Amino acid sequence: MLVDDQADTLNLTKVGLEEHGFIVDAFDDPRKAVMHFKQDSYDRILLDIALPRISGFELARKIWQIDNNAGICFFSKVEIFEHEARKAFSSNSREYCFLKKTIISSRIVNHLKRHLVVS
Amino acid sequence: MSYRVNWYYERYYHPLYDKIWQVLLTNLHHSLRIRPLMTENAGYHPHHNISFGDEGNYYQVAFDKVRDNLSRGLASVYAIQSIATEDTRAAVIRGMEKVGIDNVAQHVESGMIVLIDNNTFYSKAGLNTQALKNYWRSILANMNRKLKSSYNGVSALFSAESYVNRNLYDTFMAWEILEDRRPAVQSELFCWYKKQWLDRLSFIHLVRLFTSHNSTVHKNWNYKDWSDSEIVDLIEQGIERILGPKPTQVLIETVRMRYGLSREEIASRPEYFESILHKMLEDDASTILDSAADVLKKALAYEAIHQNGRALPTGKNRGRPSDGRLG
Repeated sequence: MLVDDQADTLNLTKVGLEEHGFIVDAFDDPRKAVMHFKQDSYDRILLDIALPRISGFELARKIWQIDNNAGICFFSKVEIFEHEARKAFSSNSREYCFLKKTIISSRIVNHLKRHLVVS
Repeated sequence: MSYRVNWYYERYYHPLYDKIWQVLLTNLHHSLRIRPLMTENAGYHPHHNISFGDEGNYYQVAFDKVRDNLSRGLASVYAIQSIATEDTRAAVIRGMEKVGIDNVAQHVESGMIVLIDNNTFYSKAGLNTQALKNYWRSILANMNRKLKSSYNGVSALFSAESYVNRNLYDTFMAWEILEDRRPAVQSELFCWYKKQWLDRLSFIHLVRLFTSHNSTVHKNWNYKDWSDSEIVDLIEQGIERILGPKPTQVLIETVRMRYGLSREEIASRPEYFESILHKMLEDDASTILDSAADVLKKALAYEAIHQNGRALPTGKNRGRPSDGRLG
């Protein structure tokens, strides 16, 4: 699952990941993403942190309420979000990681391989 | 006049001037851009061509070109080396003799070979592009006076080393763009640069080098003409290395749909393309543009092998340029 409100980068990232063999459901609206999400339906979830109406962190909490084991990769342009997230999620044992926002799919794939284990 | 321009420039220079100059040049470039069709089987390419050679055989290739010109009755302007002292001048003449040019001194005397110090353009014209153009015209006019009807045209080898070494890339580009396309005699301008300079040029400069020249020149004197579409092919190859083929096509299509820059226009408006990528992709844009620049550099190199390149006819059967068109 890929969630990014910027349609251009969302599309480019989706197509890039598909070239690496992933099947990608892409959403530019976080509410639609939550509605679509079901337990065990995704190996990896990529969330842009700076989303409209609902932040990537709130979206992550909603996803974890549905699937406790969902592995989430947050991506953002600025590192300050990472600091906030580490504070927000410091007390739980969720599986998550951070990636500086990029459309270069090889970077995303390498990052996911290193940081999120597929169950 | 040029001295005065230099004096003003040095005294009142501000980095912003370069930016303004770049914008002016870009607009001027669009309005001046002419891409005449090459005439098949012409004895030489009477246009504005470019290549980047290895340091190792840089001068050897240039001397070969002079020898080749003479065999076809073309006078040569050799302006890629310093001839500021008697020693350096003698070294150039020795180099020409080594590639088999007989009586070099006699050719120099007759005007079939004109040796010009590679710093002369900068010292005479500085940053004044009109002065650069006037100087080039005066060289051609002098040759015409001296040689009268005893030559088939002029093939000139130039290097903008004095500009590149001073990091004056925009003036260097101005020279490339404003080069006189209709001089008084038939002429080929062969811009012969060192490959190491390529690394100093930006993506925009590199694209402009393709669009401001008629052909790139490659090993065994293969001339390659570039359409806008082929230039964009190169850019796409560079992007594909980073993003892969399908995302590259999506990116190009997004640029067209969102920003109104069509695929073919990328070659004529590289600065706009670059600004779009920075706006859309932020940090990723630099990675993508660097990769595209890398492919462009490789394509400009003398050693590059291009499909559809046309070889220059060899031997003395090469005729006088058949179209009679001026460069």
